[in-house]
Amino acid sequence: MDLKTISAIDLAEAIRSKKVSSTEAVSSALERLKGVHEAFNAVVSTDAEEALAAAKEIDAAVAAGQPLGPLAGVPLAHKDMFDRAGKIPSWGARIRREKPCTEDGTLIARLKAAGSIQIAALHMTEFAFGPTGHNYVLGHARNPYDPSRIPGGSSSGSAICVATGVVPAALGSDTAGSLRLPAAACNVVSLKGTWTRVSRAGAMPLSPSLDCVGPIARDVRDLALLFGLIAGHDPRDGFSSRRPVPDYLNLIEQPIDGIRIGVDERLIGEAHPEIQQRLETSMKILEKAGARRIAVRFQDWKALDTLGQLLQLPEVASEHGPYLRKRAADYGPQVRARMEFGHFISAADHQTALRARGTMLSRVLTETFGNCDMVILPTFADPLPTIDELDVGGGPQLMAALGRVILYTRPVNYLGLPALTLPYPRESYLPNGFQLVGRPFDEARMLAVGRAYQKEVPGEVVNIG
Amino acid sequence: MAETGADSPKQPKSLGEHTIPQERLDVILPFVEMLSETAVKVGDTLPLEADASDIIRVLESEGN
Repeated sequence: MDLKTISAIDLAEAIRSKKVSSTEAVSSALERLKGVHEAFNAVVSTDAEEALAAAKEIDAAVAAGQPLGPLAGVPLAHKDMFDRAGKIPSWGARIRREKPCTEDGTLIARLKAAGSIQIAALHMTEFAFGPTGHNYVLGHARNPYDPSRIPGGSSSGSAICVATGVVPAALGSDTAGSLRLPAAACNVVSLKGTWTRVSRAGAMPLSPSLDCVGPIARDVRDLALLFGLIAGHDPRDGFSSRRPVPDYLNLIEQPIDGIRIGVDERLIGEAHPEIQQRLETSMKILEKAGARRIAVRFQDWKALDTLGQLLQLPEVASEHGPYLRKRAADYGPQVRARMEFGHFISAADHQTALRARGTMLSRVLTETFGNCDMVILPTFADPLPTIDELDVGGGPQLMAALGRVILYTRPVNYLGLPALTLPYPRESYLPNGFQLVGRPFDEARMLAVGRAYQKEVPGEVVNIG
Repeated sequence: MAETGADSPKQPKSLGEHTIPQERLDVILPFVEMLSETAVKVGDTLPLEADASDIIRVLESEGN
């Protein structure tokens, strides 16, 4: 059994059936974690002692024939932005909570209740405010396929640790693309659910109107399992939806014949030619699997992106105002510079962006999704840039450079729609990926499409020697 | 040297002790102006009753 490539579902089954112990799985993951961190700067802190103790408990429960959760004994690691009782999350920053958390965040608690074992807290862009993996406090994270290139952000460590086979899955967050970009850059999969589908309680807030939390994995089935465990109403997050949570894993093999995928040639045409070509390759794979191509058009993409900024920038400025006023030097230059913008946006403009959201979403659902079930878009507009190319700090190119990185992702957050990221076939290229943007709460169907795609383009673990 | 510091009329009070150098203000202000133009255009198309909670209503009512 290869503990590096095994899925979370298969590993949980192997632990249940005593083919491998949780202690072996956790020890193996901790061992791989060291090398991966040294090479790619993926980890903030490890929890070796606690993780091994938890693994022993699971092994004892297996031996005693006790009931086990669906992830019992499976090592996971998560972006270092979630509350954990007794710990202080780093938020990828110098500025942190003064006192340890008194309880676990909802997602940490739900995954723990399912039996998973957290082995580490992972690298993230400072305060999750950046799409590339640059972090001027922790040091920049590096892409496991080419360490000179960005791994994507802000959930960089999560994508790196999944791509390198440290863990089969990890949690991250997505305010403007932060689950989708690192997943695409590291050749793995992610699901940003419909806004309100997953509780944010105990997750570091950045821009509450846009923030989503979700899983990254190598196998779409693992995404389905984790998403089913973390989705659902939470009294601690008043925005969380009360809709029942489907059994995503059970629905994942549903046929996708006839599913209509919208293609906006004009919008896709803004991407680099290589990206357009690779997206076309993936679209053909989806068609071969049974999907139908439908021509669609987003009328207001640029306006949607601007409205997203009118939410994000002042909300970040408000969250961080008290610290920026007193401890500006403790921020990295890029995050500090971006935070400054929000202080110049009027409350009237922010409120307009908020009030327009329902109208803009209705329009998109009618005009763009009127004849299709989901829309395919690139995740990145360009082939992966190098870390140096995007090392713009707080300079004058900052907004243009980062704006290009999140060209295809931030408007999706503004609309609150779900998005599944899948990798293009790698062939001779560096990793990159596309996103399927779905109708509200249509994650089950999107995961079924992702599952059908992975039968043709299976997940892989990067060989790092 | 361009005007800088807390005395600048262009420094919002919400920044407190943190002052932004003029060269950064020269980037920020046109950028924010550009965003604001879109807000005004979009705002002109919105009905008076448009509300921040509409997004929740639309997500729930249009959801699969």
